[in-house]
Amino acid sequence: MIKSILIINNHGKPRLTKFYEYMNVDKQQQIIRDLFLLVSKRADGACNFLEVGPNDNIFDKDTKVIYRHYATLFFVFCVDSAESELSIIDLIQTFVESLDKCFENVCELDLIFHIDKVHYILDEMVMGGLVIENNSTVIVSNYEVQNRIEKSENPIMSVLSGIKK
Amino acid sequence: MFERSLVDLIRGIRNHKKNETRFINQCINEIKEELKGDIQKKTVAIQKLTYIQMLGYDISWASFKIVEVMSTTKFTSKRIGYLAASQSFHEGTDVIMLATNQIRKDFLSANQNEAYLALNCLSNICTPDLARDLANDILTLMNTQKTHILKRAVTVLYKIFLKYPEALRPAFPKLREKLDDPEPSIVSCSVNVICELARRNPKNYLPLAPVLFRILTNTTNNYWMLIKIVKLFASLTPHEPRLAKKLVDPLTNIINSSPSVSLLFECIQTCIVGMNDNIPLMKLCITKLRTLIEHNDQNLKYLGLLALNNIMKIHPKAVSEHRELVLNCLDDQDISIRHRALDLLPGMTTKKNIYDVMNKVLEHLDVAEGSYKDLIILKIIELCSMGTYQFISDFEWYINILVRLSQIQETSHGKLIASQFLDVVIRVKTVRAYGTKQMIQLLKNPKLMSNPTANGICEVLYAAAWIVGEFSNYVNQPVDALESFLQPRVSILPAHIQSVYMLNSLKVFSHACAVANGEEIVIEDDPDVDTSDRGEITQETVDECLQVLTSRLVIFTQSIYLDVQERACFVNEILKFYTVTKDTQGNSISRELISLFTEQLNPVGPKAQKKVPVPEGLDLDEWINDPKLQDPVESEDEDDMFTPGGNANNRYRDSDDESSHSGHSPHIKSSNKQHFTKEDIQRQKEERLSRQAANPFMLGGKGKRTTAEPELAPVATLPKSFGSLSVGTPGEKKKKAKPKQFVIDRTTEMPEGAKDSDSEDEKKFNKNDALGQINLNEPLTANDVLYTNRHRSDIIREKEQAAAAIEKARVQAARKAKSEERLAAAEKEQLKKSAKKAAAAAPAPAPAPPKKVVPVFINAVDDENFKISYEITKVADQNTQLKFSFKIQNKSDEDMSDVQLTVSEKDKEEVKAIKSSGEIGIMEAGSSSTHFEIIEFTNITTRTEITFNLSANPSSSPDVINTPITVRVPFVNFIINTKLPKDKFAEIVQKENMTIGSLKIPTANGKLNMSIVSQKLLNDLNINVVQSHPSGTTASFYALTNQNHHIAMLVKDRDGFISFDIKTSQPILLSTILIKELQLLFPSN
Repeated sequence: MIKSILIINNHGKPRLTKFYEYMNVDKQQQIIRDLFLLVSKRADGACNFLEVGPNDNIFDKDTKVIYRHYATLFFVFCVDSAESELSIIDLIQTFVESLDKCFENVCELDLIFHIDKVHYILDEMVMGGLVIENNSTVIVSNYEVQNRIEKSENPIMSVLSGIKK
Repeated sequence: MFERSLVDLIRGIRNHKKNETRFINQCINEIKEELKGDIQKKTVAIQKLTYIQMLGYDISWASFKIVEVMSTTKFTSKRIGYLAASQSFHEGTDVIMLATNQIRKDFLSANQNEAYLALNCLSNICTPDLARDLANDILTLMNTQKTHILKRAVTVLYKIFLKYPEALRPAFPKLREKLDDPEPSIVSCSVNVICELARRNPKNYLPLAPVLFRILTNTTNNYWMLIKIVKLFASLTPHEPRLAKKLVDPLTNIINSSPSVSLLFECIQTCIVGMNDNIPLMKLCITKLRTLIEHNDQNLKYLGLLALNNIMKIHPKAVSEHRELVLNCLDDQDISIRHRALDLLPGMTTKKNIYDVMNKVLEHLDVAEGSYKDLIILKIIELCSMGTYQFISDFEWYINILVRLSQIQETSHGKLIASQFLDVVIRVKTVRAYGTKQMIQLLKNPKLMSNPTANGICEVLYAAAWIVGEFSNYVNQPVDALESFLQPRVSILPAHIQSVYMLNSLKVFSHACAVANGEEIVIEDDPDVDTSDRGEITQETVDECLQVLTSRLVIFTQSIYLDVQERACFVNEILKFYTVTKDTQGNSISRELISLFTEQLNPVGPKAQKKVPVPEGLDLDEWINDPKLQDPVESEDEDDMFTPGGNANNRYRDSDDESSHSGHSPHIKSSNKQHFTKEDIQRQKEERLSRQAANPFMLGGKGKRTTAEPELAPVATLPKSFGSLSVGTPGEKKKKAKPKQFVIDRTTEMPEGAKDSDSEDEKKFNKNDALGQINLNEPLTANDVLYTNRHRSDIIREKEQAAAAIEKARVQAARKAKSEERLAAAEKEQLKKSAKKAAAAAPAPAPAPPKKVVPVFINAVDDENFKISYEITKVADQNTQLKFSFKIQNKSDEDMSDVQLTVSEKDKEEVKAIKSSGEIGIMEAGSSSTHFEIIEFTNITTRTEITFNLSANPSSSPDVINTPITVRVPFVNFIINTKLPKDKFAEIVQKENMTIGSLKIPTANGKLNMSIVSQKLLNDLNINVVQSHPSGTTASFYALTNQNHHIAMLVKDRDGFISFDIKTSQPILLSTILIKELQLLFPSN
């Protein structure tokens, strides 16, 4: 099961937090800080797996941390031993691809200002820590359907947000 | 007034980088206002709160408003509400129950997307209540044809099971159905859920193996699902060996041909877990892993090493072939890969290559930094100390390595290195001379003292000081040693190190005195000891030492650490005492001094403390003094890091505690003001000699009393407990060791009465996992229904009905019980009459439940080739058959082929081998195997032993090795637990033509009595009591063998003997065997 999916920027600011096991907010922030410290130390050529020692106190013992670094963002997935490391790396890729398709050349600002949409895209891919879809085309098309419903509900709002954009 | 939108909020936060918190708090206040507005405003407010939550602010206060937004009809708002709920709700959120109905309604919404939202949210916030209330709705939802809803419904089931395990049994058939769904993504989701479930209780899902197997072989492109199935098999195979055999082919296929590396890797992992006894497959895995490790992709390299490590735990030899590859990974720029490579090293090290490996690792040590450096140190020590230094043949080399490690300033493994020094020097006697020399160098090294921290490298000095003191017979220049002991810099070291310095300076001095007086007999007759300089220690040297000591101790007698101060004062006073006695009597007290330190110190077993048996009548949990009434006591800082080697320290501490608890404080009071005179000393010396045999504990307590001035110190009381430490005189030490032959003392000391077994250390893992405890393989019963919401009146009516039914059952039961009671009473009456005053007085020999035979493996053979253990179990429903299970381990260093275990030739005629697990075949060096034989015994009276033969063909020679295994077959295996009423018993004894035997065993002053005898007979021989006399001195016993021989016994406890009169319905042999068994059971000494 996936325990948590985080997007953290190069300065340690969270851009997306999703915890599939309940944590209180303070613990969430502590995990984000700890993970960022570990992740940011690593060279770009290093492998995508994080060595989380038992002393690091991030989740429980049965935790693997898999991350990828894209431009200014770290995508960090914390999973347990039921997940395969390499397929999680692929999953991160799928996630980024989907974001890229939905936002057209996604960048950090897109995520900052459309945090809810990022959540909706993620929800099409992972549900309660279990992966339900890993095909980015399906993810994007599902997301688009929902967007259309929203647009039909708020024709004016969508025009407004289009102007702002 | 305009409210901020989410975008405004985010811009605002970005514009207030300096006082972000204040800005956000201000926004939260605004949001609180907005939440009072209409639904549109509320929605925006909740949207903003979700963002703020991400930044680490608690929004649980808005939970109710979130539920409100969730309940709106507009999809846009609903979506925002559900997102906020997913992010912030948890089991403690009380309004969550208000959402139950909304979620249920949305499941069935006409808008499919609303159902997605509800399902998605439920999977995030599921609580036991929600799970119970909604389980049924989810199952209904699973009948839908809409793929996307179905996918989510299947997935959410996992969370339902997790929170409400009772749902698993009734809901599982539905989930199982979905494995056959034509839509691959549904199958994928079901596999995913089952994979998660199977991690908790794999046995439940074994029946699914065929269908999963089919999916595995028929799917080609859905790698995600294939990976999950392969992982699922990894948890199933350990419970079903046949499955492993079936999987070999498809997995080999995938490993050889799959284009997906992730699938390949997971297959390898599964093979390692489930099929590690298949040698060709393992070889294939290792080759594949090798290609991964050689790959440019760091991820593959890392995972390859990780998996290799798993194989190494099972087949260390096969992996160690790739040593070069692993060593090369040590040079990798990626620290994670270096870590993994380091992990592999211990398995690849042998006696031959340890020097090469260590050279390589030491190279890395020089360039490493930070925590990686610490890791390398840890690994070096792990490698070298493995198996109590089994790979090390040159301990001077190892001491050099440790000395080298001691040069590293920034490490936190000071204590570890120190404990290695201690351990090596204590265990390897021949290295002591060398070690002591090196330690003196360490003591002089100013770097070690440059920046003392509690766990830093200065801890090494602790070991160094102790070694120099303890083995000061190797110290040729005591003045030099003492000068390094008492350098002024020492006073900046941590207190516990300084304390060791103090005491050990005394040891060095004592030895110097002894040598100067020609009293010392060298303890270890080691030809390596360089005694040529020994002559230089003369009376002048001693005087010089004395001068060094007395002049430099002063600083320490004023130390701020009580412990140090106390020991310094103690040493100081002993020196004074020495000077005084020397002046008056010509010869000094050097003999007494040295006798303080002559006891051998051996390594103490790491578990020794735990194994000290608790004396009878001592309750360790009971308060000695009520803690409420006591003043808070200063806590003593315990330092138990040095368990393997630093026992000396502990030992002193222990004795400290002892004396400070017992007779210490009175002495302080009485002697505080006492100034000693020569008469006093004389008198006390006599006193001391007379008391030498007494108190084995010595050396005064620490801490509380050391505030006294040196002159006032209780010197006069010291001799009282002197001398008694000299347990072994120097002369009785064994001569040992040839030159350069390092003997490692692997023994450890254990307290008397320690238990052999390690059972108390085995912690049972009791997973408190309700989901894991559910058994799916039992058929569904009426109780396995899901909770349904019903009208209250229905529930009440049902409850009433249930209550009525219970009442009815109770009345019936009572009626029945009454009639039974009557019957029982009548029976009792009868018993009373016949057995003269009731059998009730007899010591409860009555119905014991049939004993469950606990299988235990017993060692049969343990030679250079094989280690074989066996257990004997009865075969159910076959009284004459026994099952012999063997565990065989190939201990030699070569592979054995044609391994075969059969009944030996001479026994073949008398027993019948019914079934066996067949030929064992090939056994690799170091591998283990199991084997069983089921054997029918046709004539039990001749068989108390059976011999098997293990034949094997070692790879190096053509000769077959035959290993006979003789197994004692306890008689109990042939006895059927039988209860016999006494009248039948009498009948049998009279009717049958029986042979008679008898046996007398002394009771050994009542240690053996009737109740013990009957207990033992039942437990060990399966013989039941028929009747016992109320006085407890006579009882009759009966048993039936598996070939219907009767065994009857009359046992009497009379005149200090237990006498057995035995009647058996078979040739004398049976009674002879029985008598033998009884003699074994009650050894008569």
